[in-house]
Amino acid sequence: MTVPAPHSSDHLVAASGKDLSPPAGPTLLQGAVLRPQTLQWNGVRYTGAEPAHIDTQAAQAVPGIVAVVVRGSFMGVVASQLNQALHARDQIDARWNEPERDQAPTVAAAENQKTYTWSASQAANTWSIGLFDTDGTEPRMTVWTCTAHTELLRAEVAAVCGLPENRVQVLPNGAHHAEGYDSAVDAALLAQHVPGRPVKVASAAQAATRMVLQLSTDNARHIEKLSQYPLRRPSVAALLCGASLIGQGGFTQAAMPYGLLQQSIEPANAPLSTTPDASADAALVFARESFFDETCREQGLDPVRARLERVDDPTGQTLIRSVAERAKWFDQTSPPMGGRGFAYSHTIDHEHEPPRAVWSAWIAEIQVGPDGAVDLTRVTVGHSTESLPQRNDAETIENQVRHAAERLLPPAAAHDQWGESFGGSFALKPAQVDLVTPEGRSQVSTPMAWNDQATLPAAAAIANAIFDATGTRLRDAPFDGRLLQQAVDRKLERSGTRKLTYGVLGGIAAAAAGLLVSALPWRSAIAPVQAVDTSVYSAQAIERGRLVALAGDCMVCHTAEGGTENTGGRPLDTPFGVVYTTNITPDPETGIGAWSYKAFERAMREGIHRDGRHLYPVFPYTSFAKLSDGDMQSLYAYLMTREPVKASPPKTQLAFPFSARPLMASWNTLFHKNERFEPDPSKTTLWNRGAYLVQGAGHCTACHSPRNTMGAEKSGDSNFLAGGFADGWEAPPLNELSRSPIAWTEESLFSYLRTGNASTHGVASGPMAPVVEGLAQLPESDVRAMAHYLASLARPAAETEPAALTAARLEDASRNNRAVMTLPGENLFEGACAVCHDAREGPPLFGARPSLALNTNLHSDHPDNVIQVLMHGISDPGNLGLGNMPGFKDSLNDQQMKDLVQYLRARFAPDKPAWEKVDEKIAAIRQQPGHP
Amino acid sequence: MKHSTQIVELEVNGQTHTLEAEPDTPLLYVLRNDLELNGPKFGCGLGECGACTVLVDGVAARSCVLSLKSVAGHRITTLEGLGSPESPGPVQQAFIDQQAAQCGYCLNGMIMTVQALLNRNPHPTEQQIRQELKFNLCRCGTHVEIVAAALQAANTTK
Repeated sequence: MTVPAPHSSDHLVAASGKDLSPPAGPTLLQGAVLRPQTLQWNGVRYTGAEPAHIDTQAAQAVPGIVAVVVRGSFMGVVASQLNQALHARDQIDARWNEPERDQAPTVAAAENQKTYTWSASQAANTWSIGLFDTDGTEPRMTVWTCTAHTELLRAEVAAVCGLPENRVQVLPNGAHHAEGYDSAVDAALLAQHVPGRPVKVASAAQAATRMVLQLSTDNARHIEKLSQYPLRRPSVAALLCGASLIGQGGFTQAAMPYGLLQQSIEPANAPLSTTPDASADAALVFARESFFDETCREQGLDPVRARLERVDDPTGQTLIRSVAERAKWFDQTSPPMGGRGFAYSHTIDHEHEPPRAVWSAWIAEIQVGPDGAVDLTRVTVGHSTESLPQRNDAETIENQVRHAAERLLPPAAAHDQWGESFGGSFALKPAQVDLVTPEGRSQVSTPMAWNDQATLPAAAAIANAIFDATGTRLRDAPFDGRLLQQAVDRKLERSGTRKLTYGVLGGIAAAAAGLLVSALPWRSAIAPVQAVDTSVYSAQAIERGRLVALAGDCMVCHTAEGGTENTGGRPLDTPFGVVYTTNITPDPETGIGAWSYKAFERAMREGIHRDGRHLYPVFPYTSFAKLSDGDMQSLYAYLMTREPVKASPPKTQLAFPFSARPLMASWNTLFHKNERFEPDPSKTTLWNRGAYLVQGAGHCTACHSPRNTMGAEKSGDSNFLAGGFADGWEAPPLNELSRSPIAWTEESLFSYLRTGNASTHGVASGPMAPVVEGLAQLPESDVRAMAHYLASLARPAAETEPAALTAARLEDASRNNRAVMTLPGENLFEGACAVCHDAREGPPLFGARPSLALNTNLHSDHPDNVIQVLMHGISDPGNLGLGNMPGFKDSLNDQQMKDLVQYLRARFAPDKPAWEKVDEKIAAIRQQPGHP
Repeated sequence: MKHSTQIVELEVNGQTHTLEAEPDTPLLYVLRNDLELNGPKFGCGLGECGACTVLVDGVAARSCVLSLKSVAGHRITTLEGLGSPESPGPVQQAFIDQQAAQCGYCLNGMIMTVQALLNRNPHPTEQQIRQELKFNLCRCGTHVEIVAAALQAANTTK
């Protein structure tokens, strides 16, 4: 029976003028843009790498591609699905010229060159849609996005698309709290190439982006006169197109105030900053004001006097003088262990009509206590603006000033800090805040006009004060608490070596004690507790514990197929027999409800049950031992506040001798090191964070490191993450032994871990799928840290050939590989696989279309994962948008399966030897239940 | 295998349906058995023949191998969503005009795949049509008429 359905053509003609909602549905195309490795501009125009050679042939051949757009250095693709667009983008073979260097790269200039970086806050996920309508008499461009700068965006889209401004419409996309400025111009440029069809461009949420600013004085070491700062940058797309935006509203070119500027931003395929203007302003002011201070100190000038000599503007003059007087700059010198810093900004806000000038001058004073604490003791802020939009009361302003200052002094980032939560670690006593008007009147008690731009000099003023106090120059903002602490320690002349010696001795003592304890074959029971008082745990601790549990995938193993979360009962197949996981809900009888924290911690770090029994190391306490105390306590808080469930999973029964649990004591002595993670001080915070997650809670080594005959992870650096087996699947090597044809990079690892798919490697399946599901819920920055750390272990990308070219070459080779066309697997492949997996032909179907030529599993030394997927399919992908694959267990017999496996290997990994023992593995894997 | 049903919301042909089903159920079974939309056909059950093709967000999809949970939250269009016997959609009309069927079992897949192509590329060449339909199987040998119908559809749609 056929049910009459409403005619859907109404959906197809969305945005016909009346309907202002963003288009959706069948006609919506997806765009992706390719950015150069480093984005760089000099405050006027793009000065980064330019393409010397572009080959888009491979990209155009990707199924589902609608258009490949190249305009100057701007490149993008339009496709019917996002994954096709991303895959095609990766296939654009672009080779870049060296970026243009400063015009006068003289030796003297290089000598005085200083580099500053500014980390913009995390950019939120957002998206924009562009629609180029050519139906009417005059073409129109409509852009749906979320921006605070509608008028600027309209002007810029008109300029880059060559349209009159009244033919461009900017509409809200319904999102909030995100800045879609960059993606909006991307969408408009792409949409212009596919008239009549809307194109969506998503800007992925990015970890904090870094802006790098280089400044140098001219040859005579002359500090130029100060003039205004150039305000805001245009969109990345406009810069890359080489569009000239000078003289347009909102973008003025200013003479370089002092020093020549090169600005670049990393990573390149991230949006430059949250908004194209606000943080770029802050970065500029920070770099220039720090540079001015440094140059003055090098030349023995007083920064305030030097500034007064170089500021023409009368308002600025008066303001600087007032602030200096108020702070008694000229009358006093810095106290011992104290420091003062000055910074100034003069910006023009073009978003107001008429444009509004804002002046601000800051003097920050800090004091380093004998205990090493850094106190911001006093802040004097002078502020003036041409218009008086609103008056805020003095208290609000004081708070804003204090907040602006404190935000720059984050705690020393720790390896067990989840996400990007900032809390003050330096004891910031309420600083004395003084507000001054140009006339010199103190405004502490009277309301005054306030503007966010007044806080721009905060970072430079504090950095300059820290230099004055400690002699250490902080050029990366917000400041790294660790560096600051080191600077303070140096100043206080605490001997680093003495501390180190103590540290080493302490470590040795602890290890010896541990050795004695863990050789005891039977450990004492820890008395059960009647009830754990969970009311003492804060919501924050429980949330942190939830993140630890997600990173550790507790619920993946401790939940049976279709069972209640964390009640155990999942059988884990080990070479020694089947181990059933246990109930870890806080049920006192069948779960861990009677476990004190002490018992819980002992199990997690030493592998001892509360009753004293040894646990088998399939429970990865060897990794969990690395957890910090804070994380361990939070995890306990989280688990103990879950719903208790009474459930007794089957008992683990291993054959003798493995059934003798006391034997585990000697196993532990041999193979287990109960040590907390120690960050490597020579590495960055990001690297250490990643290492902590990978080695600790993430217990990646449990599957990805080879195990010896005793079931212990093999020791030694060369075995670390060198590949292993779990649950009948190969866990491929993550170190330099990786067999993937294109080397893993931080970006591809991040994409794989976050979305379950990396277009140049393949999709997460089997036991890795639930891992990705867990990682998708972790803070973005943590997954980024893991990718960063893992990328540092992988073999470096081969310099000889860009990844895109390798990808295209491999796909092309796999298509024209005549040697395989007579193999018996050819017909099987054509019938069963080609519709989704042929590299070049057929319809683009919904879901991922993994490129087999680049698939890591086909290039591996072992056929296991290929056979697993062919037999059992992928019914639970790590990310539902990837689609499913059917299993062919019931339609292909062993011989057909073997033909197909050998064909796949020969066709898609022609440089690798044929696999061995394929028959045995097919027979064995057919008997396995398959991973969900 | 999980054998627990869940409440799933599914948007098909512009209408939202609330269903109780196991999340792993193939979309095709839900469309045919629960919603009585029999345009999509069951052919091979392995995504090889194309008889079960529907559109997911305007893109062709083989509904026999796509689980219900994979498409929750997406817009699904079946053959019934392109038009009715009284007023067929342009692609359907072209297939009627060209009488591009013998047994007709593959037609749902042919029509839906051509519609997906036209969504992406309103003016495809014959070569592009052939490439798009390469993995839609027709056992009666009506290929000439099918390509003619697709070309007619490409010329009549705007």
